[in-house]
Amino acid sequence: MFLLLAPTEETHIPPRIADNELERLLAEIAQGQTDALEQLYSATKSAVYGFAYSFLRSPHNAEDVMQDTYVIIFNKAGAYRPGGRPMAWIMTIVRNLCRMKVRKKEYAELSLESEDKEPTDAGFEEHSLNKLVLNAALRILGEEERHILMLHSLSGLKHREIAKLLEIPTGTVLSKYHRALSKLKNHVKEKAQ
Amino acid sequence: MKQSKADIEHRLARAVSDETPDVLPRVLLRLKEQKGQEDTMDMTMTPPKHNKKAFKAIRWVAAVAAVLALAIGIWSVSAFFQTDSLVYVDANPGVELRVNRSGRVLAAQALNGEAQTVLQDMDLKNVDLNVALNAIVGAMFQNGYISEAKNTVLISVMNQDADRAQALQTQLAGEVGGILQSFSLDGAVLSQTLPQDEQLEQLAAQYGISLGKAALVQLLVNQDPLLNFAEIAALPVSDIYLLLSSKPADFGQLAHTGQANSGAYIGDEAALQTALTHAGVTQAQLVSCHIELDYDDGRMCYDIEFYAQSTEYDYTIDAVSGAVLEYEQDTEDAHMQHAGLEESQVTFVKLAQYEKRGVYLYDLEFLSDTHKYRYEIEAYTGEILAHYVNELHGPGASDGTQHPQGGQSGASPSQGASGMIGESEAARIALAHAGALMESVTEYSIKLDDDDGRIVYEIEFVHTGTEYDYEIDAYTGQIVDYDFEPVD
Repeated sequence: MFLLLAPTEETHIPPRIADNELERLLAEIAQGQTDALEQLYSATKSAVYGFAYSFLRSPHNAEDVMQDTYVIIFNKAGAYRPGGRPMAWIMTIVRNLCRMKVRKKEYAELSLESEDKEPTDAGFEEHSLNKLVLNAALRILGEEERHILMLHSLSGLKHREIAKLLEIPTGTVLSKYHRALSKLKNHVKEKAQ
Repeated sequence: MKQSKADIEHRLARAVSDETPDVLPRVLLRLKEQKGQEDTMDMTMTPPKHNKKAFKAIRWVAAVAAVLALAIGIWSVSAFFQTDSLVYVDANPGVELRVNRSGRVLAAQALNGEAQTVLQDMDLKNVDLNVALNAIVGAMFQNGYISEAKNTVLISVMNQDADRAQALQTQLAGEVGGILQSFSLDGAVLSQTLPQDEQLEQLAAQYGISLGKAALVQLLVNQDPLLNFAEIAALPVSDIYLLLSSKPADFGQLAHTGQANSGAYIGDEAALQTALTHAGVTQAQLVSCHIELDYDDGRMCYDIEFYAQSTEYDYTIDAVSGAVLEYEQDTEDAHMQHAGLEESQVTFVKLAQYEKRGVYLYDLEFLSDTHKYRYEIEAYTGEILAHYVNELHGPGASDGTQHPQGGQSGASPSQGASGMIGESEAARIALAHAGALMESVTEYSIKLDDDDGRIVYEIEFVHTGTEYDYEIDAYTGQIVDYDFEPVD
């Protein structure tokens, strides 16, 4: 069971961060400021982890990619030019790292974790339902559906940017996105009954 | 609890958020070690494990370079034969010139088929560099590799001595500028000095382009990670310059004079007009727009994004034919659903866009027959952050956010024509159930939702260290569901 839960102050998604804020941080990171990296990390970690997790389906490998991503961001922040989409830039790094990992066949198949055995308490119902959705996403969705949904829910990328990142047509992204949501919705409906 | 699609997405995001490990300490540690080692290896977009491969390649290239250097050393009898500078001339043909200290050409090499055409029958040995340049650029022009449409030439200089490299760069750029003018061309000249870079050499070798062009491609690709090296390497220098000019790009130490010629393409304005016409939007309705030349799917195209009447449009227009390749539109209608209205029932009042505490918002106002609505919508997700509803002035109207004045039938003045109990009443019910007062709760939010056919008010608030979630039936006031958990 994956126990490395960070002590989070909130169980909600971190607030979306604006483009120019990210760019400002990148500029500071390019100067070697690690506290700027920490802020950028805070704001983007779930998006980065989510995408890597979706790609590799292994918490361990996703963590590796996550680490590598931020090291590269630190080293390459100077190469990022303002006026673009910083989030797309970051997610491209994640994508490339994931692809390399897959190519090197270093990834292990996801060992499907058993459902949380949390006591069913009013407070924990929310948590286990969230986890149910995540596990379902990993299991029942097609690869592209999974990536699209993960990117859309966490990184703030628009459909067309997702299309560019995954190198598939925008139309495909739109239809797969809705199909993925429908699949999950039906699955959860069944389980929750 | 039944789930809506937006809920699914939120749950997914929350679940991932909860599971996201904290790798920051390890990242910081690695960066510290990296600094400590004074690692001069170029950390490109490959994970550190790849450095072994890069290192091996570096050793191989170094070995070859050493042999080459030795060969040159043996071969050169005097300083006359020693290569002082390497000069690359690129348009689409790529030529490499080895130049000695006195500015004479020792050897000229064609780096691709087009260059071979250019250099055929040319003996440039011992020729003065300027003369050679005239001959080469002239031949490129005569063969149609340089023209009004393809008006850009790239000059790259490599020399151990940085000052000499710089001086040569400036001199040659000026020379080429003059040559282009003599052809009555509105030309553009790019020039740069090249560092010793094994990685760049590998890329150049891999794609069959000159070192100078490889550096130019790298410059563009670095600024837009969605472009890949292979596809850009195949483009002529003028197109690469055009793409760079179209972005707010940083040219770094690439000097440039003259404009990239977009004559082969329809131009920003024409592309925008095509998109607007297609979308049925007039110039006057345009709130904002952004146009960029891009290279996608093997062709040059205009990437256009514009915003009009609470709809965002995304168009890709073929830069040569003007055809609409792709389009997408995204209407923020979440707010309409939320208000329970159709487009036809409202009058759009205004839209503003701004940043508030690090979050980009759309501020949208519109009117129905009976109410005025204002929504604050998060720009990335379309999530409704806040909304305000006010009854328009008329008999018995009141501020929708006030407490109900009590009504026998259970209907309050804040109730709209829809028959719902109103937000204040719903709030009262939820708070009473939780034993809280409006004044003592924090992070209060309320919204209408459709829980599988049943309209409910979803109310959230924090009270004495506990977070509460309520679903109140919008018509009967019945508590459909409630939930509470301690705030961490």
